[in-house]
Amino acid sequence: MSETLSDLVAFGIIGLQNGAVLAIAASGLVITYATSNVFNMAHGAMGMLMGYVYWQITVDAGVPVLLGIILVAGVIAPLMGAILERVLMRRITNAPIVVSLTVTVGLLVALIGFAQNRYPATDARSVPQIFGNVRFEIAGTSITGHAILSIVLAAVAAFGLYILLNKTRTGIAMRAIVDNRTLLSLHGAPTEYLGMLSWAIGSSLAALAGILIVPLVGLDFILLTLIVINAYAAGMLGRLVSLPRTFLGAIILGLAISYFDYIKSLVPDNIAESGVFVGLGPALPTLFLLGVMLFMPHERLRVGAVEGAARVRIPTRWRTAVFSVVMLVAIGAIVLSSSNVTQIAVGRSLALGAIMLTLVLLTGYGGDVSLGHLTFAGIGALVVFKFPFFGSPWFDSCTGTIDPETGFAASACPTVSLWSLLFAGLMAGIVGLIVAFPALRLRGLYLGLGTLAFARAFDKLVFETGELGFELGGAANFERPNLLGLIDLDGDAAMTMFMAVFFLFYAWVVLELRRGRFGRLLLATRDAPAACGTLGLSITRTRVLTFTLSAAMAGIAGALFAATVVNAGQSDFEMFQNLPLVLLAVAGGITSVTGALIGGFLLGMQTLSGDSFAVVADFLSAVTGTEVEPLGINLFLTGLIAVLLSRQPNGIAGMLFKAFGGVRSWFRWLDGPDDSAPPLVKVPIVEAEEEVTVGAPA
Amino acid sequence: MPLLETHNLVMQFGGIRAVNDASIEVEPSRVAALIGPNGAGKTTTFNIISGLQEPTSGRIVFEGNDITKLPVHERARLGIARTFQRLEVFGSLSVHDNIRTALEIYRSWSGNKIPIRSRTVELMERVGVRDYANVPADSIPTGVARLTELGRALATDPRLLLLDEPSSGLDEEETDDFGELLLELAAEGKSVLMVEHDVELVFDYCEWVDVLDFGSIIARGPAAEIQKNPIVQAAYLGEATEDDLDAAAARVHEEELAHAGDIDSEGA
Repeated sequence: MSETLSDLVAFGIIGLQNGAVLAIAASGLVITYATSNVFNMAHGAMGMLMGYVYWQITVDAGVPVLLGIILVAGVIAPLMGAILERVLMRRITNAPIVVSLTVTVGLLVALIGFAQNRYPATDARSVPQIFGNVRFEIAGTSITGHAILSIVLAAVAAFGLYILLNKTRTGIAMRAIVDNRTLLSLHGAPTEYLGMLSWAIGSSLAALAGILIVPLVGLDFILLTLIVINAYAAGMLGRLVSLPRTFLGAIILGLAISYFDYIKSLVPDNIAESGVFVGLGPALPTLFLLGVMLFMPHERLRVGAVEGAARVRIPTRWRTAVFSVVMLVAIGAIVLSSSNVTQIAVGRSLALGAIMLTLVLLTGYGGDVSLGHLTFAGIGALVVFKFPFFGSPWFDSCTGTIDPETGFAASACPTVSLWSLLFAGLMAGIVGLIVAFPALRLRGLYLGLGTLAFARAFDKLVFETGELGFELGGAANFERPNLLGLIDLDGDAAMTMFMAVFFLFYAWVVLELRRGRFGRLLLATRDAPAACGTLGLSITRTRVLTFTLSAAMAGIAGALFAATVVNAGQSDFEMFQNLPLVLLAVAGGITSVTGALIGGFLLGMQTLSGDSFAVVADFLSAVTGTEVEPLGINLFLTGLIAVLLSRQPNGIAGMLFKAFGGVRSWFRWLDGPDDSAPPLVKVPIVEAEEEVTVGAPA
Repeated sequence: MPLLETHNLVMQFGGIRAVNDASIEVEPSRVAALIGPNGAGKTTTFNIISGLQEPTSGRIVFEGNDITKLPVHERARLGIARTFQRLEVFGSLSVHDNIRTALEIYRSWSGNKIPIRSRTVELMERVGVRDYANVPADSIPTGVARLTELGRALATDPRLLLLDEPSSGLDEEETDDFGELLLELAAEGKSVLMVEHDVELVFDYCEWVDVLDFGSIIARGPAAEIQKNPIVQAAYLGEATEDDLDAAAARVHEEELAHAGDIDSEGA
């Protein structure tokens, strides 16, 4: 047999093995989504944790492998799934997409934090292949027992799920839960038990995938967690509900990744080793996902109002003005009385708050979810880094030299100038437009999944490459601007105060948009998209415009973030960092400007909080009686806060507004001169409440 | 020429035919009703006409143009507006802003430089929701919300108004006012097609009635005639057998064919 043919067979078998593991993971994801309407972003993280548990049981404690698999995939994982359904997921089956994504992403982040703490990466761990020493020869290619087992288990899972869902009463009832839980229980079906069963099965499949993949890729928190992206990329072929198509998608992806490695072995080394080419392999599933989305038919407008739509009263301009001054004075006081480290942390928090403000526009007002806005911020910083020659008459321009070969800066002194900021916004906006277009034709969940996949692809194809990005682990030193040649922002205190002004500028922009025609349009499209359509509005256009605008604003804020922290790069803007950003934006309160400020500080001050996390670790050590390291606690707490606050549609800000409603009324005199909403008739029948939740899930 | 015609609409959901070969016509400047028991396929027909659902087969013709493939917003721009059975108000906006936003949307695509402020007040007064102007739409009574939806639909100056159970939630006096408003609208040249359970409202104010049951048109004609039709009464009381309904639907179908023949021979 020719060498080429045997290579093709060998890579094909590896591809099938990868595809089989992916199919197991993806089918677990699909079965929970199709039966509970909750898309489990933590599916990969659950598999990751179970991979570690499997290591602990089989390698560390020496339990036989088969018994270990049965214990983990047959007992521990199903139990975890059932408990999660009982305490969390059951409550959010009818919640708006932002709530269900927050809960499951919160769980993802918390599980990573937990695993980081429980299994510190400093200890080396490895898991051997199952039946690793069994080998078969097919067409001159040696196949491991592990590969055969993976393929067999995938086939068993496919067959078992098919029989369960189509041929058994239990399975058919499981499929019915998602349509109408109450109706089903009125017909005597044990819905409580059915929901738990579907999550137990999903969790078990996640664990099985984790166990099968750990010997191949090693124990790695992030890598294993991100399998969820590959899994939903495969599931997208069946719109996240069809199991046969999900299996097909998984096999196609497995083969594509494997044959890409084969192609890589054929092309010349200089091409194969270029950053973009190296990144293309890991980016394949996300490119597949975006491709599938592009060819999915345009989703029809749905009748039926969004549940749990919530609102926060929009402050009058006078109130906003007074509170702007109060905030500036407060930040000024903090800056004057603190060290440089604290000053930078405050500036960083304000920059992150400004990025979160773009989410207030997109998610809080518009109802669309993005898990990729930090990537747009990164694009802004990258543009300043790569195009540092934008001088301007108002800001000092950079005097760095340009590399004649590449046209890019040779020795970086990327200064954030007015022109570079505008250019950063423009580029982030253009990329935002390209991302929004395929994803926004579809429903909210797809936008969340699409943006996360985009963030992942952008990491691999741009941020991590030397040619286009910062390089893996790379960063650049950014120079701070000089305002009008008069105010030098080089000092930390000055830069932080500038960021406070910038945050307020963004806050005013967002509030002005909300007060005007555009804001009403956004709320209308969120509240009743079908009605907007029947009034002649193209919803897609409005949503694309909003997404593009918020991406552009995130780009500008990202460039200023870089200038604030001075040294910024790949790790600041990588995909994973999007998750805490969104979680804390929601926890702070994604429906209000105040919420973005709170969220920004919750995230930004974490760099300073090492000591407080140590205090938490000491406390946990005392309570549990075992040594607990501070490692991962920040992530665990971030996830936990997001999950706990997910039922507060207006977050911490909303709770504060409620708690201090009395204080608010002291400032009623500020409402006088405002003309943003002229009262036409002064006989309101029902007093407008501070915060109203419509049809929140019980 | 009728303003709206649907030709042999079929909507299949799995094994169920929600709409079965339904053909209806709406004449210009006329108040008409589409009635039938619950689950007859009325709202589905509305969804198909406004573009929210794609029919399994059949055609929709508006002012002589086939609009079956047009997206929702383009149909609206041709002059089809509607209200919803399950309320679709902009819950976070006040009643005033619900109508104002509709006018702003209308202005953005029509190029018609209407004065938004005064027109908003005018419309609120016309449908009778001015007292609720500043109240958020998710805190108003159902009847007011329905009227708000009507005001919003009128904001786009439509030629055809599809009203889905507009009177539920209105008291007797409000219902009468509403009926008068329908006649005014017809006098202004607008056509109204409403799905309605309030039989009095239908027979007092509608000129023409189509009766739908199990997805098929089982009777049609002037309101006074329909009121006396035994098959309609039986269908409403749930006493009509499947054979009765099939026979009635077949009769309507035959009339349609005969009518089509008349038109052909007229043309010839």
